[in-house]
Amino acid sequence: MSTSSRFLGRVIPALLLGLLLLTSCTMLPAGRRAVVVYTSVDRVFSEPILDAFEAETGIEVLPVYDVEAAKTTGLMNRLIAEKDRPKADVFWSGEFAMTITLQDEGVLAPYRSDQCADIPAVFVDPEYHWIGFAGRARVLIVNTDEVPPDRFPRSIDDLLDPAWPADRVGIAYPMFGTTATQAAALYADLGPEAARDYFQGLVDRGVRVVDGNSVVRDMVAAGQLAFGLTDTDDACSAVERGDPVAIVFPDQGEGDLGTLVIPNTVALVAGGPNPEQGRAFIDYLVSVETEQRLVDSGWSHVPVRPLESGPACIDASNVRAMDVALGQVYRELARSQVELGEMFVR
Amino acid sequence: MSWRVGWGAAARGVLAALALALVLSPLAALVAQAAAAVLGGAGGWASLAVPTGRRATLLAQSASLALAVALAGMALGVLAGVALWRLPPRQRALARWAVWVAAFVPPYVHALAWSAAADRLQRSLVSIGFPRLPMRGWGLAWWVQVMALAPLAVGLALAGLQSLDRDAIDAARPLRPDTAVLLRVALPMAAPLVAAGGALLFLLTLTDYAVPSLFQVGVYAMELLTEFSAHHEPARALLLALPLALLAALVVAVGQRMLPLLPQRPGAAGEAWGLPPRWPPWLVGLQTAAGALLMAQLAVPLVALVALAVAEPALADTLRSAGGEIAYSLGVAAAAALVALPVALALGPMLARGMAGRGGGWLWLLAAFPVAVPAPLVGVGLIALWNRPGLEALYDSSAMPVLAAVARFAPLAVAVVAAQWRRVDPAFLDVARVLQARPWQAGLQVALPLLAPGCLAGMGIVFVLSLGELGATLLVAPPGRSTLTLRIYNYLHYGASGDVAGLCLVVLALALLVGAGTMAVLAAWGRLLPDSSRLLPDSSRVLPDGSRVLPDGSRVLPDGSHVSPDRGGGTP
Repeated sequence: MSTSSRFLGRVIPALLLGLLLLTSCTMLPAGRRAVVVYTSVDRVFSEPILDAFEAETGIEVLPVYDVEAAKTTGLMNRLIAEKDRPKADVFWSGEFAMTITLQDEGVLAPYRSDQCADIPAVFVDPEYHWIGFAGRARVLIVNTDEVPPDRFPRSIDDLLDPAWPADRVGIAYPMFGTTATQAAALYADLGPEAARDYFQGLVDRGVRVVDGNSVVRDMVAAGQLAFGLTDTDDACSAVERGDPVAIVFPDQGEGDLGTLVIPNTVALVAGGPNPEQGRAFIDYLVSVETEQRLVDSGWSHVPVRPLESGPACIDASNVRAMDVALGQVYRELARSQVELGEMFVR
Repeated sequence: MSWRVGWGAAARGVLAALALALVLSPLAALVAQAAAAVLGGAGGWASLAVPTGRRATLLAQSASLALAVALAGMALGVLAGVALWRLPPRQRALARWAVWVAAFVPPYVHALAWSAAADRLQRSLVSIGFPRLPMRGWGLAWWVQVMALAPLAVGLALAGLQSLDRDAIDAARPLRPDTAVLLRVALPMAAPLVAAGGALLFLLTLTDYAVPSLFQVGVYAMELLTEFSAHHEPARALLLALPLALLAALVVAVGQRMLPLLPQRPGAAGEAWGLPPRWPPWLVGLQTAAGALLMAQLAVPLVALVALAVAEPALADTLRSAGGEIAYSLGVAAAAALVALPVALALGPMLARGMAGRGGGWLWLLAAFPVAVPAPLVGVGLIALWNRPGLEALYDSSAMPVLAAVARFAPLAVAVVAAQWRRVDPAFLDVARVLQARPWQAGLQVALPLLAPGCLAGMGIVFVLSLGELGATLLVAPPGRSTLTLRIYNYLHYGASGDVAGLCLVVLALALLVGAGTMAVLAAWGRLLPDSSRLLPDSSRVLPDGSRVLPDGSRVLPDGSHVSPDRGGGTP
C-alpha cells in the first residue's frame, strides 16, 4: 500500500506543476503591442493575411478562428457574451449577417477607414459599424463526369427539376452559414411565402440536405451528387485540386434573380483592449492590396472594386448579383432560420 | 475522536461543494438567466422546456436512435467479449488490450473513417454494376454511430465480463450446459456494468447531431443548435435542452441503479472460466461475426486514414505547423483529466451513497445535466462566470479551456469513480478507519489506492473527450491559442482531406498512447495491490442492497456503518 501511496504522491504533484505551468505560460504579458482578431474566415485563407500584417507592422496578432461545425454558434456568441468586457479588438467575418447581428447587439463601434473610400456604398454600413470587401458568391457546383455541359443546371430552380433524381442533388442545411444567408435573401427578394414554397418543394422532393457547404462540394466531387449549391471558395478549392467539377453562377439570364454575393465584413469591437491596433488592422484588411491578395489566394472571387487581376478559378466580372440590400437580408434571417428549421429538421 | 470525524465530514463537504461548483457553476449562471427571463415574463420561454408536436417527435427519434445504438453496441460488445474467452490466454490478453486502447480513440475519428470507407465501398460496387444505394437514413446513421462507438462498447462489456465471480460459474457448470451458465449466471452478473456502458452509449448518441445530420436524420440536438443559431439566447437554448438532459439522466440513473447488485469481489478479477467454455454452433457463429466486426472496426479507421494521409503531398508541413496545437491540446487534456480527479473523488462516493437513497435520481440528474447540454452553452456560462473585473489573469489564460473540459466531462469521471466505489469492500474502509491514526490517512492510504482503477479510467475518459472538445473550447480558448481539434475542424471546411486524415492520425496516436499508458498503469496497480479476496473471510457475502454480511452475522452497510446481528442483520 505504501508503494501505491508513494506513486500517487509523485504523480499528482508533477501533474499539478504541469497545470500551473500551462496556465501561467499562456497569460498575455502586459504591455505587448498586439491586436486580438476573431475571424470566421477559413484559417488557410486568413492566417497568411494575419502573418503578413504582423510582419509589416510589428503588431502581434492573436487570432481566434471559428469553425463551420459550430453552426454559427461559435465566435458570434462569444462576442455577445463578452460584450461587457470585450477581449477582441476586431471581428473579421466571411459574410455579413453575423456582423449586422453584432451591430444590433451593441457589440461593435463605428470606424471610418480611409481605405474604404473606393468601396461602393452598398457594402459599407451608413454609420461605419462595418465595412464589406472581398465578396464570394453562391454557385452551383456540377460533377462533369455525371453531367454533360449541355445539361448543366442554370438556376437554383433546377434543384426542383424532376429530371434529376432527388438524391442526386443537394444543399447544406439552410438554417446555418451562408446557405442560411441565401435563404434569407430569397425571403427578402421573392417574399416569405414564395421562399417558403421553394424550400418546401426541396423538402417534399427529398433532395439531399447535408452538414455544410464543404460536404456538398465533396459529395459532388466524389460523384455522390450530380450538382449542388455551395460557395465560390468551396467550389474553387475542388477545381484547384483537380476534381471533375464545373462552377455555374445560377440565374444569370435577363430578368433572372441573380445570385447572392456575400462580402467579407470587418468591424471594430466596442471597448476592445487595443483600439489603435484594431483600427490599424482594419485599414490593412480593407485595402486594395489585401483584397487582391484574398482574390489571389482563392478566398474571394467577387471583389467589390476593380483590381489588377481577377480570380484564377472563375471569371466573375459580369456576375449578376441579387438585388437585395444586406440589411434587408439580415432582417429576414431569424424568421427564415426558425421556419426552415421546422421544415428541414423532422 | 468525534471532533476528528466532524472535521473530516466538514472537509469532505467543502471539497464536494467546490467540485460541484466547478462542474455546475457555468450552467447555474445560465439557469439564473433563464429563470430571470421566465419570471420576467419572457413570452413563451417556459414552454420551450416542454416538447410538443415536432419537437416531441424529434425527441422520440433521438431517444430511439440512442436506444438502438446502445442496445446494438452492447450486444456487439458482449458477443465480442464472450468470443475472446475462446482465445488462448496470450491472444486473449492482446485482444483485450487492443480493444481498450481503441476505445480511447475519439468517436469522431471513427465516424470520419467509416464515412470515407462507406463512400469507397459504394464506388467499388457501382463500378462493377451494382446500383447506387441512397447514402442516408436512420439505418446508416445507426450503423455508423454503432461502429464509431463499438470499441467503447466492447471495452465496457469486457469490464462487465471481467467482474464475474468465478466461484459462482464453477458452481453452476457441473449442473448446467455452458450456454445455460452463460445466459443464467454469467450475463446476469455482468449486466450491471454492461447496462452502465449502454447508458453511456445512449448519452453520447443522444447529444450528437453530427452523425445523424450526415445521413439526414432529424434529431433533437440539431433543433437545439437551430434555436441557438437563430435567437442567440443561451437561456432559451438551455430551456430547450432540459428534456434532453432529463431523458439522459433517467437512462443513466437506471443503468447505474443496477450497480449495487454487482457481486463485490474486489481484486478478484481474473479468468471467469477455469476451463474454456464449450458453446453450440449458433453461438459460435454469432461470436465470430461480432469478432469479425470488431476487427473491421479496429482496422477501418487506420486503413482509411492512412490511405488518405499518404496521398497528401504536404502532410509533413501540415504536421510540422500543427506542432504547437498538438502540444497545447495534450496540455489542456492532461490538465482537465488532472482537475477531474479530485472532482471525481469528492463527488463519486457521494453519488454512490446517494444512489441507494431517495435523492439518487436528483444526483444523477445533476451528474448528467452538463453532459447533455450543448457545448456552446457551457462556453457561454463560463464567460458569464469568469469574464469579470479582477479575474482577467484567469480568464485570459489556458485555464479556461481546461475548466470547459472539466465542466463537460468530469461528470463522467464522477460516474466511473462512483461505480468503482460500489465495488470497494466496505470492510477495508472500516478496518482503515479503526487502525489509521488520522482520518485522512484512511482516505489517502486505503480508499484512494482502492479507487485507483476507477480514477485512472475516469481520467482517461476525460482526457480523450477533452482532446476532441470543440464547442466550448471555441468560446473560451485564449486568443492566439488553438487546439488540434479546432484546427482539424477548420481544415474540414477547406476540404483538405489528406491534412485532416494526417491530423486525425496524430489524435489517434495520442489517444492510443494514453490508452496504452492507462492500461499499463492499471496492470501495474493490479500487481501492487494485494488480492483482497484472499483477505476476506470466505463466508462473507454481499446482499442486493450492497451491504456485506460478515461471518459473525453482522452487516457492514454501504455507507460503512455496522449493524449487529441482534438488530436484524442476520444472514438471510
